[in-house]
Amino acid sequence: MSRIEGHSTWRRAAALGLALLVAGGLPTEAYLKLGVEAGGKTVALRWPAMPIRYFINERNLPGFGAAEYRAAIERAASAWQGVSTAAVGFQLSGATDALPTDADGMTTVGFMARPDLDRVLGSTSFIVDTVTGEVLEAGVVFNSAFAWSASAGGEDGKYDLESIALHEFGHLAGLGHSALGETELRAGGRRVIAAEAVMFPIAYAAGSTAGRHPRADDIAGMSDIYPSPDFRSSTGSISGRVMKNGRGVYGAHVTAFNTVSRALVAGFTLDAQGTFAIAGVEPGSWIVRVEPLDDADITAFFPAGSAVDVDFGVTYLDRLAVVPRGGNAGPYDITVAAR
Amino acid sequence: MRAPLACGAAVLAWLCAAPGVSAQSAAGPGGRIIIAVAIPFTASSALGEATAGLTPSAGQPSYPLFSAAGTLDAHAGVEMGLGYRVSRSLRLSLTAAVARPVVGIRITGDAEGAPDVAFDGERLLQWIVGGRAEYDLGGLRFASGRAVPFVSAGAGASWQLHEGWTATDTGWVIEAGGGLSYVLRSRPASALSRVALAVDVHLTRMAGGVTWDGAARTVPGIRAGVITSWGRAGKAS
Repeated sequence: MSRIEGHSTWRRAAALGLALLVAGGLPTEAYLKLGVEAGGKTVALRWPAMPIRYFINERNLPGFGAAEYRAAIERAASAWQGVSTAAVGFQLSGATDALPTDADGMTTVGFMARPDLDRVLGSTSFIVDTVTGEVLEAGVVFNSAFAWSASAGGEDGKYDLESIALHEFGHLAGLGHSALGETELRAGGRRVIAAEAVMFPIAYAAGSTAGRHPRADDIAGMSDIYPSPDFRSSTGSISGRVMKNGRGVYGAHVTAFNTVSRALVAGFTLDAQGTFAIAGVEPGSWIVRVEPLDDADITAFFPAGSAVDVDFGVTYLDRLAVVPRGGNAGPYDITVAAR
Repeated sequence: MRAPLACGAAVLAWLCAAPGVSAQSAAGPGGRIIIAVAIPFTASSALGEATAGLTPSAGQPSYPLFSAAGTLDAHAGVEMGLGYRVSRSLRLSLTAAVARPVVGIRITGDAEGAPDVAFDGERLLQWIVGGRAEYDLGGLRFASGRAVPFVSAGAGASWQLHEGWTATDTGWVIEAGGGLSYVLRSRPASALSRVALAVDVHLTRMAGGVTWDGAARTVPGIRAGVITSWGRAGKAS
């Protein structure tokens, strides 16, 4: 067994040891997912059975009661369960005194005081069987060193537990981070200007409840891991390569925008050939945009030391990607130029 | 489009070389079966605008990653018609038109300063199948009766196949307009009883089909073609 930990929602960008990320290159594995070395190979982290049963630890609650706490957590779980194209479920099994970090066979959600992690609002960790890759248990920690709100309406100056729980439960199910967000650098770190994925690694400012609902990108990612029976046949994919100076670009952020539904879904180039595949997109016409990964720390997405290329300008695919139902649009070559 | 145009030009050359007809016969209605071929030209139309917006923190407007506008570029096509002359002035036709319009894309306002770009997004295969009524304004004939103004109205269904022909958008069209037909040949006693050129201008209201915003749009167009009447002309009612 091994414990994988550190997937976090950050108040500001900060380097923190991340769980091993796996990013498949197949059209059906387009999203960054949590992964684990098992049996000598990297496999996507995936719960073998649904629902994912969890307990909550009701100690150390920062300024609200257990009922309000439970309600916020369950609203976050319900938001994921409401994704019609994903067969994912969460079940609250009761309260426990165990800590989320205990290796006790239980998946536990709870608050812990971690003032040392002054940029981490929450984190999710796993214990997995390193032979089979099976998830044995997990823990979701919210950092009580911050001011929190569990109110249904949110509260000024306090981080919204429901939003952060939605993000962490995305990790709990196996989702990695999305880069669909824009940030600006300020003293001490980054501030989110806007985002279009609850799995963006940097949280909205305190007081905001904007992150309470999975977006198209989150839905595509979750559905990719736990597809409903008709998900594959009712959606399609976009694939291609991002090239610079005749060579593949690794780590480029590729965003697809549906001209009718206005949905934004994104992925990355995931190998030295610069190939990408964005799966789980609705049929229709999509505009494809490539940008360098420059709105969060690269280690929020890729393992430390990865040769992610950020030296190129925003580039658009010079045609529409027309996605057929159950099929693939592409492959397209997108050539970018160094800045 | 080149082959049909060349074919049409050859037909016209043959028709124009035919012996002249009297004004009296030119004014005749021709046979009851009508076969027509035309080149419709449709002006460009906007498909809509869309902004790739990111959700901001509370209280802020949507943050635009970029904006895009789509157009169905101006295009020509080929239209075939099979009709029936109901009366001396009224013709009803079933029509089928095919065209390959291009969806034009223009992207502006990139959040990270990328220059504005414009490109051909895709080339559609568009079919419109429907019916049209044309009514001759006989009282306004001129040029010795050869030139006859007419008004027209029609409706149909559209199928727009996306590139690769893997997806189709369907819609409806209605059109109204008016034009002028000019009789080139009239032989009431022969099987091909009349040949005329026709030009019309029209407005087409298109609903559904390829659209970014779901809005119906009105598009001007012009059509030029040849109308042939078959069967011996009788007294029209």
